[in-house]
Amino acid sequence: MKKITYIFTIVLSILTSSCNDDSNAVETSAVEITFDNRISANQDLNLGTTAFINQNNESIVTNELKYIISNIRFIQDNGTIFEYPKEESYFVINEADPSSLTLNLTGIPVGNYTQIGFGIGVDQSKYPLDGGVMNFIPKAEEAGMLWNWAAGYKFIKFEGTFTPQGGTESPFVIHVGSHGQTLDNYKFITLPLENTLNIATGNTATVNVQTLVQNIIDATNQIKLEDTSDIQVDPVNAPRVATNLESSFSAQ
Amino acid sequence: MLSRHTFGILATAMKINYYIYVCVALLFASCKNEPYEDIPSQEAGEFQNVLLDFNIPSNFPALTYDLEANPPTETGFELGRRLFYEGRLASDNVVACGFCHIQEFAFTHHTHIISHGVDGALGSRNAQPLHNLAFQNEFTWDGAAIHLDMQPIIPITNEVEMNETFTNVIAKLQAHPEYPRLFREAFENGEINSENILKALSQFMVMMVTSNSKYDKFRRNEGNVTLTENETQGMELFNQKCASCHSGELFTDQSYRNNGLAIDPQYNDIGRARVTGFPADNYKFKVPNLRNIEVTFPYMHDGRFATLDDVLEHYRSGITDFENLDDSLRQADGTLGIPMTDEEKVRIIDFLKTLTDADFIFDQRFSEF
Repeated sequence: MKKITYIFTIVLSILTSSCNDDSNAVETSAVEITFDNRISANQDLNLGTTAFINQNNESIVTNELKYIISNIRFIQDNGTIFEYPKEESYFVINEADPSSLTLNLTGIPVGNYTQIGFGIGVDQSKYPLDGGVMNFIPKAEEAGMLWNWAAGYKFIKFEGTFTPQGGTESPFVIHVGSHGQTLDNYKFITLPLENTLNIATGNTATVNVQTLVQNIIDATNQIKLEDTSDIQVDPVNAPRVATNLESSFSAQ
Repeated sequence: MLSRHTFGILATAMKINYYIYVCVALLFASCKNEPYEDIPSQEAGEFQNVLLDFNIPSNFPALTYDLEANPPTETGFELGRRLFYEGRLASDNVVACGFCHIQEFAFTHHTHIISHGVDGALGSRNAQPLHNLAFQNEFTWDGAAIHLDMQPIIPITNEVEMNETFTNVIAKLQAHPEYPRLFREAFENGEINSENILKALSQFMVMMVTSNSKYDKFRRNEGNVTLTENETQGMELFNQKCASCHSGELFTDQSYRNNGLAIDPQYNDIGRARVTGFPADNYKFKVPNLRNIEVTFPYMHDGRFATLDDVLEHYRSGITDFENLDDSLRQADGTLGIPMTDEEKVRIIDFLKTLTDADFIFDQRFSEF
């Protein structure tokens, strides 16, 4: 009988706590994060048309730009960190698909946030994998962000043409992901928000993330496309691109 | 959510008994937003958390797979088995995992040098045996999958294998008369999604342990099993000449090595370098485990050798030199290969045949029907 009493006690204590989520819930609201891929502060990126000149004097036109954003978190002025539920925190940003550029996040605790953090790519190194990593497969597959000879994601797909000064136009292809367990190109960045993000009940706050396309190949590391126009599973240049991605974003 | 979670914990913690059913009934009655509550349970399918025993054989190393993150259950395993033999995972609705991984041949593609996919497509590699996967740290010949749960992405989506998308697979399973129920029985959230598909396949595959060969029984001193004189000699020769790479009870050190196979210009398969990008990894392939090797012919990543004698002859006299040829295949005097007499080859093969595990090959749990 003791055992039965014990079980009933446990269950009753759970019953009393299981269905009252609303009474002591933290107040939450929504945030809209917009990714704005740009040539410069003054010039928007247009696929197939707008060009920029890199430090190696190559004129570059972007035809395709996609990247994965994951593990979003918000950091308050008092240091409190809110991690968006991992399961729902995987997105493909695709310049060609305007609907992909805005992420609508809900359930963010109200407060004043001064920083935003996110991963570029997918953190495949953590064992065991969380469900988000695996349930992201169909979405990534549809966007062409999944390899089919390796079990992993392309973190960024950046393709277009480059023309060296006085030279002829040629295509370039940059696909960066992690290389098995030998090279992890996943990056997590934290960005200060130019203006404090006030999340309050009843309205949707907005964050604008600007991505400078040129920085992908021309930041900490300057990549000369004439020397290396095909960066896929490239153990030298893929990490250089991944490092550049860390300084390609800013947030307002 | 909490009530379902509680069910999971209670069912795991103790044998399901009458009192738990009462408690569960109470829990379900307590939250009015439970899905499926109005559907008769037999039709709907309910999560059944009956764990399967996973026993690590006493002569085996520690597990690599985290069983706690995806504990194999009766219903999860059964769903995994169904999916493993399910043609709907392929674009032609025919080529299931079990098409190239045939149990009688330790889940290899019998007699096929390279594996066939949908619409007669030909791959470039020989299907690997599937067994003792819970002890492996990376998967496929080049380590292109770093987790068992992710490995099936490759064969399902590759155009020369099953050539299907996860979106389509999910839609086909959702439209199937039985899968919605099977998923609800196997997983707490009951969803047909890529996570649950992959986890069910893993639950099935991690249970595929081959550990009852004559060699294992000899190692564990079971039932007075002894090796014959020839087998014993073969084991000693194997330990001298082969075990530096095919080491331990898994018969592989799980490393990638260039074993001196002449480049086949038809494929020019660069092996491990495809994953890492390092030229130093060119033509390296994962050291295959040798369990059930008698039945997993043909051999090597491209199935170029039909017999074990061919394989040993390669190591004796067929090594092609490479800059990154494995050191173990270069003798002190500079000659290539592993010296062995004809008789020694025969003895080694005698020993290798003691690694065949009929219990595993004919284990009904893993068969299609």
